[in-house]
Amino acid sequence: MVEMTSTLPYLSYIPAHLIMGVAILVFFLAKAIPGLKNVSPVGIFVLVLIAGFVTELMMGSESKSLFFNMLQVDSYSRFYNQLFFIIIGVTVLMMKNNDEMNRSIEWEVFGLLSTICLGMMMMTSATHLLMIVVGIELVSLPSYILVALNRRFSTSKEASLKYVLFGSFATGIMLYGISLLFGLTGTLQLKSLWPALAASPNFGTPIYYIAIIMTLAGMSFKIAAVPFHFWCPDAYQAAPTPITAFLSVAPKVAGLALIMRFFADHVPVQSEQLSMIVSLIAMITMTLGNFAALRQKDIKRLLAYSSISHAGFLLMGIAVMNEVGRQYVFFYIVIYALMNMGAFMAIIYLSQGRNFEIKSFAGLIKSKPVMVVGFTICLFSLAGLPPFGGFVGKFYLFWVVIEKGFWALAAVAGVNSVVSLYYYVGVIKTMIIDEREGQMPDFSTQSSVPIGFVILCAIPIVVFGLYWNPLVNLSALVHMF
Amino acid sequence: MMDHILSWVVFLPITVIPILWLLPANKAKWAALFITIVDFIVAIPLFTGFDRLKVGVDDLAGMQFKETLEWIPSLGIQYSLGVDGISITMILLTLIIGLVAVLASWNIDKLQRGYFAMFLLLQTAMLGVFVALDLILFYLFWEVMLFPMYFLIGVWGGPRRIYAAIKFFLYTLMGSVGMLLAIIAVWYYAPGGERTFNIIELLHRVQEGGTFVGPEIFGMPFAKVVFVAFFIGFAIKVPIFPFHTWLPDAHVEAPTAISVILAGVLLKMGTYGFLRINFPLFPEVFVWFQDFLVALAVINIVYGALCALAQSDLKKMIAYSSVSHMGFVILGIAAATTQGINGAVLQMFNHGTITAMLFLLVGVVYDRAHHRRIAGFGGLASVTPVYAAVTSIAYMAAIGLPGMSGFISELLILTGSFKVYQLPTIISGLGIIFGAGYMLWAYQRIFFGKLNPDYQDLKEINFVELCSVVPLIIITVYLGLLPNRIIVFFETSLNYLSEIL
Repeated sequence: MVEMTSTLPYLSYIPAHLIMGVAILVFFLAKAIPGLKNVSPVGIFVLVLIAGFVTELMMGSESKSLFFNMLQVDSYSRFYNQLFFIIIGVTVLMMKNNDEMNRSIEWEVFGLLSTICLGMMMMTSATHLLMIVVGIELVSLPSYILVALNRRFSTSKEASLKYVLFGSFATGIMLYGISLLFGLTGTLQLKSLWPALAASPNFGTPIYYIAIIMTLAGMSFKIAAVPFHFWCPDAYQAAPTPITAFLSVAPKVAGLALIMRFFADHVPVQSEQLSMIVSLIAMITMTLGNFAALRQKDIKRLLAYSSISHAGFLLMGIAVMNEVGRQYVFFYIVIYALMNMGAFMAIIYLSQGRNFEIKSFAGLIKSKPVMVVGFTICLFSLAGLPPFGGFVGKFYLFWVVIEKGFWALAAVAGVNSVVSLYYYVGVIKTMIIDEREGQMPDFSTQSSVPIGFVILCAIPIVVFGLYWNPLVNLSALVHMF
Repeated sequence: MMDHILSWVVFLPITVIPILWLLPANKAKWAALFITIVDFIVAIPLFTGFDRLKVGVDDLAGMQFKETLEWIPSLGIQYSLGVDGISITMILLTLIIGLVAVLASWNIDKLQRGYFAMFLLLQTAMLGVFVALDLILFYLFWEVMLFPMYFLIGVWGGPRRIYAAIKFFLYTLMGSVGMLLAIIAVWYYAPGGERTFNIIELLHRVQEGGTFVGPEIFGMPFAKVVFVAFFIGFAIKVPIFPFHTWLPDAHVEAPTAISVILAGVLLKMGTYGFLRINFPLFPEVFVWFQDFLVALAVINIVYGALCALAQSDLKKMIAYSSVSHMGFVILGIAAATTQGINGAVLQMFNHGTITAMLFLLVGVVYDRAHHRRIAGFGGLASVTPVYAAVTSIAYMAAIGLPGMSGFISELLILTGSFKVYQLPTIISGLGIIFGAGYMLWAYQRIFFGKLNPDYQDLKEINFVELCSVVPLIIITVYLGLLPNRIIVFFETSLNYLSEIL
């Protein structure tokens, strides 16, 4: 019989969640609160983000299981949450420098972003299958709306609808998988699920695999892994670019963190099969993402497929199913966030929110050399070329895979690294080598904040490419429980 | 400062890069020239202070001018530099070729600051490869060399430069990724003791009798797979048939100075990798591989020469002659005799200087006539006699005329390989004959015969161009008559190496 203790004391362990909860209310009701209507929402939202970040930072280093083992607060969840706040802050910066979104709905947009933030924090803390569903849905539903908000392209509504349908489909499959897991074991707690699965008479039978894979469906949907990636290129292309940037980093990272936590409690006897499942998904995702990106002519679609292939690389780090793998996935995620945000900010600036064809970037080295060099550094880093941070991330992922002896996975990842170089270099070539026909676009109306931001992203990328000790030490602090 | 002389030599070029943007665009070349000369002067103590008796191949105490810093302690990666006989020769080559290439870049007219920035970065990377003693540091320098080359070929090159640049980039990167996986595998399955990335330490352990014991990869023995992964990575650079197809395109489309660097130094990085890492780490696998390697070397020599014979573009002909000459290097290494390896390293140095000369001279005529069709020229000797004379010396050196350095190195290689592989050596002799064939025939078509009326007032070779070619000629002739001056640098190390193999 479960003792009915009050759950209120648990709330003191999740201050950031509370802050976001209040923020959601404030932002959605803002237009009805007298006096608040005329305040700038950006300032309030930035304050909220800072408050959230600081509370997460101040939490010390304890680990606690909350709400009857539904949420787990530990250094793992804290580091990822801090990352989310930073990423959302950058998204706000992008929104300020971009006019694809309607300014009059800023309150609502920030409310939606707050909801996503709360959902992501739940995803990183979830230790119960239903909590996982709550977290994923809290992130997905507002994202559907955010994708539709591009006032330049009417296709954004169509993309959003694809996203909604696909997302519901994936969540449906996941719920069915969860029900199968419950049927097999009688528990929904991750901690007791895996031992129960290993001990159950159905261990190793097809139903065992089907249940796990179906549950993975919802999570793969969030990280856009194959075969649940179909929504990704369309949604990324049609969404307002700040939202694309946000989607390509934050929910993806949350999804990966969730998958790592999902598999964390597995029993050693299961590790070989689970590794095989994840390796297979990783290989297919990497390959499909890279080869599809080769033919893209739109920069946002190209980065969408590139983010799909990066999810594949990160799954490689998850496939080794050990602590070291998880730490180096965090390492790569930090660098990935830097590279991707830098690249998207550069796109926002160089495209001026209008023309996203790669051709339209031709010859921009002559007009905006600093921005183009910063963008080039981000792109080379995405390709995994030394001496940039992206290479170090890939190096560590190769390292954990070879340590475990997954030769096929390492070989596939290696080939994919080389293939990916081609499309990144294609963009760089257009900017630096090609001659521009027609006039150079006029950048005088744009502020130079994006240029500063891209340089601020490029510098750590180069530094981490040469001396990455501080980040390794940071990753070593990230562990579960 | 003497303590860190290697770091200075390696990183001096990139220190100037920020200053390039403070200068007006057309003065950037002076900054580059200045720093390459300074780099050479700074490196002189390296050569005078080099102890020729120390062996150093697998013995850390024998490596000279060592520097070690902790870099990434969690993996045991160190910032570790040092030179022995093989490295010091390559450093000398890189410094000379770098200087010459700056002179050859005198006429670059667009985005000069970017050009020299990439050039200096490339120079640092090349110097770094030859002195790095830590596998990851080596790999980092190796890869850093890639994207400057891409830009140098892609922005300032010929009509098909974009195709050539991306082909070079992808091809080399493919080999490098294989190399990276091999490096990680070597670290993980290292014999005896603590895991380390230090090349010399690993070689030392192998010499003590340690072997790489690892799981079967795709059903094949571990050591063989890792060896082949390394081999392919380096073979693409050398280039060894059938991984040579990037070379003609890259050489032809690159601007003159970059062709000089490509042929003069970059190709040697591949063979350096063989001598430093690939073969000594896996001596038994090397023995298994030797026959095949000799076959590949002979194919390089003969096939490369035949392709050169068939070319109508002068630069492409010289590119294929490069393939052929590198084949000699491979032959010398594959034979693994004392003379063979000594000859191979000597050939590496000589080929660097000689081919650099050849490309510089092609650049001279291309700058003036804007095409490189051999058949399009004729009788230039009457219009540009100095140019014709200089070119004749260069071509004779390329053929391997006694009195020039090429002869000594080829002689050493052939003598060294004749002891072990008779038939391949004889076939390689054909390569020399073909070499004479295409070089003399090209020379005759360009300089002798009826004067092509289009080129009646072709401008003579000018002072800057002469400055870049004459030093190389002097070196070639000097080494042709007194080769021991340079052989003493690498003799001890290589004699030891040949014993290992």
